[in-house]
Amino acid sequence: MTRQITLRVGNVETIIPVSRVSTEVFKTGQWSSRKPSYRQKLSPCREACPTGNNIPAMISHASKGDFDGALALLLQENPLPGVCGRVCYHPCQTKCNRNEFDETVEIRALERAIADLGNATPPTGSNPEDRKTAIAVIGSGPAGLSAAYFLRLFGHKVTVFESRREAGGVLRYGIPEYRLPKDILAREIGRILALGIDLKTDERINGDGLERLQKEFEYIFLGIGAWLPEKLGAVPDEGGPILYGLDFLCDERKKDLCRGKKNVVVIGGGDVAVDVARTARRLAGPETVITMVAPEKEGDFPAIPEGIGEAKEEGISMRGEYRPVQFLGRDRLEQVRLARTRVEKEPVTGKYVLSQGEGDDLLIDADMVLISIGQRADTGLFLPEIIDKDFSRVFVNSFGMTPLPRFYAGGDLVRQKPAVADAILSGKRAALSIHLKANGYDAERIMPALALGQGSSLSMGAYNENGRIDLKKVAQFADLTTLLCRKTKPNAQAKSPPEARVTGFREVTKGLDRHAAIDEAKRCFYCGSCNGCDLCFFLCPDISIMKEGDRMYSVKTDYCKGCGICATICPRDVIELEERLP
Amino acid sequence: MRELLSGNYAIAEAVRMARAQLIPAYPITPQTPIYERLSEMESQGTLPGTMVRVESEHSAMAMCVAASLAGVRVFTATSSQGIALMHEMLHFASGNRVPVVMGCVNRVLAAPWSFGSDQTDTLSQRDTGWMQFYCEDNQEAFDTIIQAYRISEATLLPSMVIIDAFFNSHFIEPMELPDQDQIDLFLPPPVLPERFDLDNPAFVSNVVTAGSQFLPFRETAFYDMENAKEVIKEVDQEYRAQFGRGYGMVEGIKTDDARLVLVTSGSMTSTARMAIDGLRAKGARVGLLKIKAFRPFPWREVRDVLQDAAKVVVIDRNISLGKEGIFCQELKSAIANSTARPQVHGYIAGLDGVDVSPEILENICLEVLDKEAPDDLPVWVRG
Repeated sequence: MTRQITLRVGNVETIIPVSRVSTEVFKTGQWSSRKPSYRQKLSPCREACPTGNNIPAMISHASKGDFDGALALLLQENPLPGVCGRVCYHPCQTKCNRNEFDETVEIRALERAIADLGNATPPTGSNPEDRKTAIAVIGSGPAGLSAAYFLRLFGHKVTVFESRREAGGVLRYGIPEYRLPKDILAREIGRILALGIDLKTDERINGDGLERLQKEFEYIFLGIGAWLPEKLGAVPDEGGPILYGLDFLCDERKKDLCRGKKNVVVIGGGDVAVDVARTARRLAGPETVITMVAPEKEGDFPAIPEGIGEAKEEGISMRGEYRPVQFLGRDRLEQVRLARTRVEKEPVTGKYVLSQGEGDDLLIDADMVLISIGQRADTGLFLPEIIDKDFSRVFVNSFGMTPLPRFYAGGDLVRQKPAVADAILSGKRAALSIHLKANGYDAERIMPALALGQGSSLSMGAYNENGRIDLKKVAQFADLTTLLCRKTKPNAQAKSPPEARVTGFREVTKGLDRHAAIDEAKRCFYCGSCNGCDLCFFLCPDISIMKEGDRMYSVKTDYCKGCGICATICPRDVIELEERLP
Repeated sequence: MRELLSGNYAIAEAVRMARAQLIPAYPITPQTPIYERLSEMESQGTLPGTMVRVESEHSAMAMCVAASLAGVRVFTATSSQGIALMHEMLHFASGNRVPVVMGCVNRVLAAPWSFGSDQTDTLSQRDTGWMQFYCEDNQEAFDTIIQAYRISEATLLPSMVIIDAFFNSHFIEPMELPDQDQIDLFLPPPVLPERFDLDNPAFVSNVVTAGSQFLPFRETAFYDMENAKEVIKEVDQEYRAQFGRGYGMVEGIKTDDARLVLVTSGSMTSTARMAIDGLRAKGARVGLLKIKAFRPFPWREVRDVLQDAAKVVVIDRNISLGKEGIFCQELKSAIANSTARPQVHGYIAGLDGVDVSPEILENICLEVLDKEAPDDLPVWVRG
């Protein structure tokens, strides 16, 4: 047993190749011309979002229960997430890629949950020169608050002038509490003002005031909204029980007038009209007949369908394709005569054209009429050169600037979609423009770079972080890998029953609780947005996907042979394969 | 100790006594009893090594290669389709110069599907760089396994120890099992180059350059296989000295005065021994050449045995379509450059385990003795 087998070969060490150095010397990646590129893209929801919320990233935080992190991200782009999470018309959900798989992610409900459950302080903007410019913001609605917020985050000195007793504009005086509770609004406005914004309430700026402000402030942002009612024209529509919608909503005494009324007719089919009708229901009581009359077909009322649905649940009836032509009654209003209308979409311009419809007039009983067919801005106090007379709006260019270089404007005062989110966008746009101008930066170059895809929204996050997202490319459904996803039902928000909600102004829609919000967040595809799932990292056969901290990967092209497994498996279209000449 | 054992069990006993340390294997008829017997030994606690039930023959060989590179004595066994599936890894074994010993039981390669003996499965692996030893009986199979470890571990080349399906693998024969201490004396524990070191990681089978690296590796391996012939002889002589049995790479029986030499391999040789006796009794000057080592091919020994013969008849239990029996080809090429060049007659017989009786072999020899010239194509014998 002491003997051993004698080797009968030459040099054992040289009969086979043994490599004790790294195989990294073989740059096998040079054999291929196809390389993956790791680049985060825009999600369609974010492209559609007027405030430019980084929706996939915020939902990713929420899916892990990190509502604080999610709120911090939201506050980068939107000063009023608790408001938008309740009242926004959510174009994000219309564009959600999940619509092509099962149903949209309840993005608005998630925004609300994040705003309600999270705690975060707004992120300070980048202002390396520390240029502190004095800016006056006239009006404290969503546009004014947004402009003030973003300017203040850049470090500028901001003073907000509000003609009413409290800040909030249409959010406070227009939108009823059953949709937007005052404590939520107070919390959001409080967070904005706490940044160090000077708020002057009960201060209406007239012509002289504007003169004075020009001396004290370098720039002035006009965000006074559109509070004057559009009128019916030919029909005498004033006096007694005939009121205008927004006036009605913001005036407690006028609201009281509908108590005891039997038949309330609301003229108009927009969101304000719906709020007017539902407010009347709550004040007049459950027996009162409330009818909304609008020239569009019943299914085509311009208001958000959700609001129409809730109004119907609350016993409000709809009469489409009618308009009021006469208010009848001797001593008091008794009836309204309605004439048939037709609204058609002009095929070339896309505009809706109103014409006379076929059919008999209709008389309906009415002891109160609330007219809510739109608002105009009170442009009387401004210099004529900035007013777009046809529309009774202030004219601004694509940077939010009026023809007078020190004046910027936004919200319902300018010609844009009259919605909270669009007002916030206009405030953000003006704030960025003012900031860039105050610092002498090239807005012509910078602003387009911050635009999200083909949409009109801008990303403040992209400006501050030089973000790693390609803001011009949108991740489409066809580019996603959904093999790992299952069809699921959205987590819908609960609503209180109609008979309970018409007894008061408590919020109708209950928010998602923490558990449901996390569950809903997990439905998100995170289109174009890397959430660190590691599939590319684990499946790369050439160990060429490198991890660089949280949610960041890079491709080691020296060894990547371009097989494309990473691009194929990436559920979110973050990795794409590109031809690259060697 | 005298025992009655099948060829499969004889191989299993040899593997146990050789103290193989790792046995990755996958079952396939007719080799499965080797696997079963080793498994049984393991469960009884009498197997010194560890068995691994792998998912395929390819994996079995991959594991053999890796373990052997780590310095471990390994064994595996297979047949037919299993050898075919292993093919790629067979090259890795020889290319990595690992002394794997494998038991192979010749069986028909599908298609069509069948189970009898046919050497085409192992002969198809001729160029994989493995040594191949075709055994005549169960005793020789046992002895050759023991010898193969000595030969492989000295030359760092892998070995196939081959028997015929059923004639060897399942037929029980009386045989002599040496004592373990005698085997241990002949076959000490392995001292193999250990290529892997946790503190100094290595990678084998790496990419090499064509001219300055690949060709020299092949050339070295080629000459190491040539030189293995000396090792095979020495090991066989030593074995004969210790155990009283030896085989040589070839064996010539009654060839000194033979006009005709019958050439066989595997279990058919036992039958041929009887046929030669019968022919001699009839006055025919016929001898027998048994070829045991096929790789390395003992061309010098074959020439020596055949130098005075006028005719040679090779019986092949295998066929290479488009040419002829494979032993016949090899024999022809072995004598091509020799001075004495007998006629070579090729016969195909016994495919799929068809019995080749002494009478058949006698008749073949008589036919060849009468022939003026060999046929260009092999003669097919239907049994």
